[in-house]
Formats: sequence, C-alpha cells, structure tokens
Amino acid sequence: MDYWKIDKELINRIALISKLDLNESERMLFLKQLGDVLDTFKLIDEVDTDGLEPAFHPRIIENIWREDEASETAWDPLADVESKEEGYYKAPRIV
Amino acid sequence: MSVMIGIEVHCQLNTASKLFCNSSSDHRGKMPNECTCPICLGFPGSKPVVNKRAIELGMMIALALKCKIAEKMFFSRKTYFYPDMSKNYQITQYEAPLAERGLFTLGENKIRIRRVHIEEDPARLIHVGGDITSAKYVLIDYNRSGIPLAEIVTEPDFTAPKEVRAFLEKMVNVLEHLGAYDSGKEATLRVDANISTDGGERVEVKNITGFENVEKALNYEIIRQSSMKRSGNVVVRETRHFDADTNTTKSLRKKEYEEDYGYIFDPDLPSVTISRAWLESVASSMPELPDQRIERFVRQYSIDEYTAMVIVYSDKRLADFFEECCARYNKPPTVSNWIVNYLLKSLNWRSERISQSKARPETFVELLQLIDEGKITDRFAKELIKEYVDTGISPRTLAQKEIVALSEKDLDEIIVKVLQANANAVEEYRNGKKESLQFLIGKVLSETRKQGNPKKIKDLIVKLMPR
Amino acid sequence: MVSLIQSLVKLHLERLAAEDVKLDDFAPRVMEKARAIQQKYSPFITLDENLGSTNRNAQKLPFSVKDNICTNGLRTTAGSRILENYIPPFDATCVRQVKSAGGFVIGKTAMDEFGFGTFSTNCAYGAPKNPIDIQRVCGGSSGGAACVTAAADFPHIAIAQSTGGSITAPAAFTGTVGLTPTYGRVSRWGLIDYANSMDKIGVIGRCTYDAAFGFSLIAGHDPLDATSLNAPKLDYTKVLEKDIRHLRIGVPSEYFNADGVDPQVKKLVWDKITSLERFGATYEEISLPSTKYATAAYYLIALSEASTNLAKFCGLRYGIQGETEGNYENYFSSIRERGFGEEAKRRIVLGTYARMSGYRDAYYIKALKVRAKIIGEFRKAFDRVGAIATPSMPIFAPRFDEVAGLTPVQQYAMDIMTTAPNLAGLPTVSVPAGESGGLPAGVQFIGDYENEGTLLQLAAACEV
Repeated sequence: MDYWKIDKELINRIALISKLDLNESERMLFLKQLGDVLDTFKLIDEVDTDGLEPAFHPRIIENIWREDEASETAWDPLADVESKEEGYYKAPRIV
Repeated sequence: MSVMIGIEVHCQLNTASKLFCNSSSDHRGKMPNECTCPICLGFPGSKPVVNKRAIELGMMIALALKCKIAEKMFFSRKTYFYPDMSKNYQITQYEAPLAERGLFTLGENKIRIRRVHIEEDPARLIHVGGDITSAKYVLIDYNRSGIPLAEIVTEPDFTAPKEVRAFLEKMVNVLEHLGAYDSGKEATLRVDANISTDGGERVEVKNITGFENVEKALNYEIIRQSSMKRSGNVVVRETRHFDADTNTTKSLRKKEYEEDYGYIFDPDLPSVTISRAWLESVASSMPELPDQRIERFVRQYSIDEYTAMVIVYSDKRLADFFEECCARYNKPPTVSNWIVNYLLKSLNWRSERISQSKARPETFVELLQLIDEGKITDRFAKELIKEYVDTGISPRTLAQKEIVALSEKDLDEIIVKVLQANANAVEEYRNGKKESLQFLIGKVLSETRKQGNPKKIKDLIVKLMPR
Repeated sequence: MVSLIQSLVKLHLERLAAEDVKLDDFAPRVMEKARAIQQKYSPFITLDENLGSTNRNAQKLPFSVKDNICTNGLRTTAGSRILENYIPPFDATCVRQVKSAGGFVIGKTAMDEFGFGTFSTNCAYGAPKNPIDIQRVCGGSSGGAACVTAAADFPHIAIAQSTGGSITAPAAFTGTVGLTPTYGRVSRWGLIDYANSMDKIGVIGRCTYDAAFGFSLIAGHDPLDATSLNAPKLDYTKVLEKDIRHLRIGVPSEYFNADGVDPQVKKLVWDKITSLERFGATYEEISLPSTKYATAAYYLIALSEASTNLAKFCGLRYGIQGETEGNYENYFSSIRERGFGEEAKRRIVLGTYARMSGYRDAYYIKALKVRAKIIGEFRKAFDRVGAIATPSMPIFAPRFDEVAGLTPVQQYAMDIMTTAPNLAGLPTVSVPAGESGGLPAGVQFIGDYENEGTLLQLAAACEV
C-alpha cells in the first residue's frame, strides 16, 4: 500500500470520522492540497529511525500525579448553555 | 452447540475523587452535574492530572488477577464522537496498558485475563421519549464523567452464560475485598460481552448492568444465534444492546462507516513508570483476598470451610458483618450458623444485600444473647429475625413486650392449663416415657408463641406436675 | 550587557517604585491608546472594556494576552468562531500570576484560528496589520501580540504562545523580541490546546528587558499542569547584565542553506552573529542533518494531537450552539462545519488521517521517532556549543496578497527555522537583526533546556 496516497474515498471517510460536514468543493480542494502536502512529507520515510523510541514529549516526563482528594468547584457548569433541562445538558438523540 | 464468550468488565474504582480531577466520584444524593469541574467537563484550557490512588487500585486488581504488571504505562486518547463524551475522546490505555496476561480460577475452570487497564468513565445519558434507538433527545449528567474505571478483559474462555455470571460474582467479591470497588456507593459495574456460537461471527452486547442481566443477555443471544442458523441465516458481526425490559438484545443501527479511534498518546499526561519498590509496597498494603480470608476464618474462628466459603463468597460485607459479630459475641460457630441459615434467608427473601439491610452487628448479636440468657427460645429467635431484618429494631426491644407479658405467674398458669389438657401425656411420662416430656414442652411453647427458655419450662413442668 | 534600547517597562517600573504614576487614571489612558491601536492595526479580538470597574490601584502594568489563553470573565475564542461566545470560568495560571503581580489585561490578541498559521491570516475576526507597513502581515500565530507590542507607545508586555514557531515568526516580522521558553517552563493550565506536547506560553516585548521581566512573572512550576517543569522561579532581568564572553555559538549550515531563505535575511543574521565577537563570543559552523525532516514531523505530530483537541468543540457544553434537531452526528457535523475556518478543517482532516489505523505507524509513530532523532542531534550539538543561531524566518514580512497566493505546502515550508527547536521543546529567542528596505529581520537563538538566561543575554547583546 502506498500510504502517502490520499483519495476521494479516504477524504469522505475522514470527514465522517472527524464530523466535518465538508461540501463538495472543500473535499476536492483538500484532496489536492493534502495530496501535495503528503508528497513533501513522505521525505521522512528515508529517515533511519531504527532503535529509536517514539518521543511523545521533548523530554521524558514521568510519574507526575495527584493524591486522591476530592474538593468542590464553585461554579455553574450550565451557565452559558442554552440547551438544558432540569440541571441536565440537553443534546440530540443518538439514532 | 459450542459457545465462546469473552467479556470486558468496567468497574468504577473506589476513589474519593475522579481519575483526572478533584471532583467527587461519589455522587449519591447529588444534583445532576453537581460533581463536575472544568476538567471532567473538558472545558477549553483545562488539563488532566492523574489520581495516584486509581493507579494503585488498578495495580492491586492486576496483582489479584495474577497479571504481569507493566514497567511503564501511559494513557492514550481514543477519539470518537458521542454525547456522553466530554471531550469526544476518552482517556484510556491502548498500547501500554497497566497489566496483561493474568489468570482467574473459577472452580475447575481457569479464565485467562487478557489485560487490565485504567480509563475514565463517560457521562450518563438519559434517553427521553424512548430508548436509545427511538428517543427524541438525550439528557446528560456529567457526574459520572471522569470516574476512574478498571477495565478487565478476559480471553474468550467461557463456554456458558452461567460461568460468566459465576465469574462476575467471584470477581466482584475480589474487587470488594481489595477495596477497589464499593457496591455500597452505588458504584456500577458494566459488562460488554462478546459471544460467538459454533465458530460463527462474534457479536458484542454492550453496556449490560447487573450479573443476572449478563446471563439473560447471553442466553438470549445463544437462542437468537442458533435460531438464525436453523432458519438458514448468517449471524453477522455487530454490536447489540441489551434491553432489560424485554430481556432481549437489539441491534444498534449499523453506522455507514467503521469507527476509527485514531489512538494517540495523551500528551497532557506523563507516562508512569512502575518501579519494583512501588509495586512491592502496593503488594504489601494489599488487603486480604477472599481465599485467604476463608482460610483464616477456619483457623481463627474454628468454623468449617464450607460455612466460611458461604459467608465470604456471598458478599464481602457479610464476611465483615460476621467478624464484627464475633468481636461482640465470642461464639463464632453460633454466629456463623445464624448468619448462614437464618440471616441470609431473610436477606434473600427481601432481595437485599447486607450493605443495604438494616441488620447491624451490634443488634444482631442481641438475638444470640437473648437465647443464651434464656429470654427467648431458638424457635422464637428464628421468627424474630424476620421482623428484625424488616425493621432494624433491636431484638431486645422486639422481644421485650413478649417477655414482659410472659411473667413467671403467666407461665405457671399456661403450664397448669397444658398439664390439665394433656393428662394422658402426663400419665405416660410418669410411667417412664421421656418423650412425653418433650411433647408437653412443645405444647407449652406453642401456647407462649415460642417464648421462654425450654429448660426452664421443663423444670416448671416437672415441678407443677400433679403428684 | 547594557542594552541601548530604552525599555518603557523598566522606566515605568522605576516610576511605580517612586510612586510617580497616577494609578487612578493610568488604566483608562492605556485603554484609550489601545483603542487607537485597534483602530489602526486590529491586533485585538476583544478589548477589556470593563477594566474601569475594578480596583485601579492593582492595575499597574498593562499586558495583552493571546486569545487562546483563558481569562476569567473575559471572552476567549482562540481565534475561532466556534468559541465566539466563550467566557472562561477560570484564569490561566500565567494570567493569574500576571494579575497577582500588578499586571492587568487590556485585551485578547488576534491569532490564527487555534494557532493554525504562520502569518496571522487564518483569522476568524480579522487579520492584524503590521505596524511597520499595514500592507504586510504580522506573522503568526501570535500576530496580534507582536502587533500591539510593536505599536504600543506605553509600557506593555504581550503574553504569547508558540507550538511550532508562533512567537518567533511574528517577533521577527514586527521587529520585536519574542521568547519561547523551554517546554514546561510556563504552565499550560488555561491554554486552549493546539499540540499539547509542544505548546509553550511565552512573551513578546519591545526589547529584551520587557521579555525578561514578563517571563520572570510567568515561569514556574504548576501542579495543575502535569507537564510543568519543577524548576525554580528566577528574576531574568538580573541575568541581562552578565556578559557573553566565551560563549560558543553554533551556526547550523542546514538553516542558512535551506531552500527559499532570502539572501538579505541571511546577510543580516550573519552580520548580527559576527557582531557578537566584539563581546567575546565565538561562533562555529555546526551540522544538524535532520533539520529537513523537522517540518514534516512537526505537522504530523502537531496535527495528530490537534485533531483530537478539536474534537471537543461540537456545540455542547460551551461555544456556539444550535437547535438540537436530528441525531448527534448531524448536529456535531453541522456545528463544526459552521464553526471552524478552512485551515482548521484542513488540519483536522490531515491530523485525523495521520493517526488512522493503517496509516498511524507510517505517519504519527514515525514522526515521533524522527522527533527523537532531531532531539538527539540537538543534545549532541549542545555538548559543544552554548547556543545555536539561525534566521528567525526565511523571509521578511510578506504582503497580504503574497500570503494569499501561497499554497499550504508553501506556507508550511515557511516554518523551517522553527519546527525543529519546537519539536525538541528547546527555548528560543527571536531578536531584531537589522533592517532591509525598512523591514526587520530576526535572529533566532536556540538554547539548551532551561537555559533561557543565556538566550536573554544574547538578545540583550544584540541590542547594544
């Protein structure tokens, strides 16, 4: 598989997964532009990364945590929300 | 027919605060969305910081399941859009879980544990105007959002739904003993089950609450899948949802695309290195597991193993109850006998667990003390226990009015009356038939509605018997 | 090193110390000037019009805050329509620190939507104009921050933020000083995420002193950000006096010989580096061979992270909302289509792609390994040199019409000077290197971890 190749079907699938209601001209534009971008990005294929661990952070950071203490936040989470009902958030149905 | 079942158990961990913020993870009696903050609601600019206790509880679970614990683990983002998700990604573990490859013994069976990991719970959805497939809209309560979950994934090692139920019961018992899970806090335990029959496609039934429902859902699936095959249909790979009202599973609408979770490392959360020293300190602080407790009960309280198993396996809280009773009333075999044979029966009759019951060790032992003191009979105590479990009123108080009513003089009158009415039996006793005395005691007890010390009654009968 | 540039901040601090500032009308006068600047250059998305109602004695030093940094009660949009009505319920840690030191926030500065841009032209609320030439861009994504800094004739420090060069680029284009700290040196609590493993809050000042003073206020450990460094607070204005004798500066050929570097920029930067010899610093050419992979690795990692960060914006809980008709998928998709600008959508698509199963190993994981390699090369370089010098940007500030003609490939390529140090989480400072045709070029110094002090000394030396 040439994983650097992006096609229309893939753009459509990404739009579904990422919940973007892209119109047809956006889809065509992105197809072209991202194809060009990936063409330049595929340069990284040639980097020899054998034996290297993925660097999730610039430097290794580990074992940072908090103790298990509960406290209350004084706030109204629904203050700026229009769609609510009896203290609940109201959201669209699933199906 | 061959059946293969594997399950994923999602257990809410018993922590004071949520997995990544200080909001309380105990929302009993709270208003919707009261136990929230910008972090568990995923507000822009907020950042998670992991709760150390949640990791340690996860480590204990992994140790109890004999898993190999990772030297290094990290959290990942699992991205998908759903209204119960505060960020539309769930912080979970993907390529570097807390633990893998464990084993859980279930009678003759050994169930392999694939992995144990920590993740955050999504919010609770209420489907308004129908069920998940037909509701008009949903209401969201984020109190649950961010509560730590341990996800325990088994290999497909179950061959029958009842094994799954037995596994879950035993697993919960272990989790409660570890203090990792507290059913009393309305913590939930949810199960996703994968089932395939006769080598067919795997069907996933998601989000089942309650062990009985898990068994029902799986039994329903076996019947559904086999009848599909009988009628020449093919079982398709899909996700189904269990409807507890109809005891059936329903297909969730198939999406027009496959989800792709696009896992990445969560860059807000540093990785966690589990050193040998840390692991050892967690292991040494681990509470007693059920099997260890059974052994100790046999040793320490001189009760038989079967009784110990009944007490410990039925409910961790019941075993606690037993021990607290023994601390107050130093005849463990009597305590265990009354718990196993009578208390449990009353609880079962009310479909209650000991943690939900009004029974308390300090009042329960009164029952046994009353018997010892000769104030009530065994038989009366057995009657009293029902009223006690129903009301929670102390046995001493319950027995009081009856005891007062049954003064010595009253008892004398009852006995005289019984002796007069049963002259034959008196005659037989005089002629050496010992059983007749038992018969007379029984008669007296039935008159006293089983009150009074049988030994005392016996003495009175002999004393009051016409010469 | 004594800078020859007069710091308005320093002067103001001295007057404050001498109680020579009339605080009861200081903030209103500053706001009047800020409104005038807004009229001319549009650097603000939101000006704080309620400043007058708060305690004026606590309003001693004006700050502007990039609009992706949360300010309690003051609208924060991250430059996006999807957050056009968002009022944060809390202050970012850096804002809290600024306020507790007597700073006050005059307004929230314009930026490319969520930081997605190199020129501050991907702006939902209008692009800021470069005070040097309003036909030209300010650079991005902290364009508004640099714009106010360049335009303000009052003491002011801009709180800015960089993921892949968003402080260096606008500092270079506007002739200001931009400090991008070590990853983790300033708490990210309250920063609306772009790419969490690279996002850094920093400062832009009129001169090195201003940047050093602002940075000293906001640097430090914060338990609310698990990636925050446990390093002590320092007064960085004190290090400016130290000299740079014996400091060895590495000059990486890959940065100077890259495609598309303007020869005039190259010359100005070289001249600036060689001019530091008079203070006893030395320079030598070094090689950072993986530089050419940095931009690809940067975009693949940054957009993988960004596309998950942007998932939360869906018309629930905060931000723009709509009628909750239809099912959730339709609703989320329509809100997101309406709320995000074109570049945000483009980056979501690319970032989603980079982490999809089947592609993830070749894109996201591979890029993380390339990052490890780049970090390794820097580590090695810092065994030999105390700082690395490069051009800040390959070009001078372009005109708006020039930027409009660039393809995404050409735009992304502009980040060549900044992506590698940002991937490595190294601190950088951009300071003016001189002008050509009235347009400033910037020199960028890259330092070792937590070595902002050396960078500020170098920046101060450039001002002599």
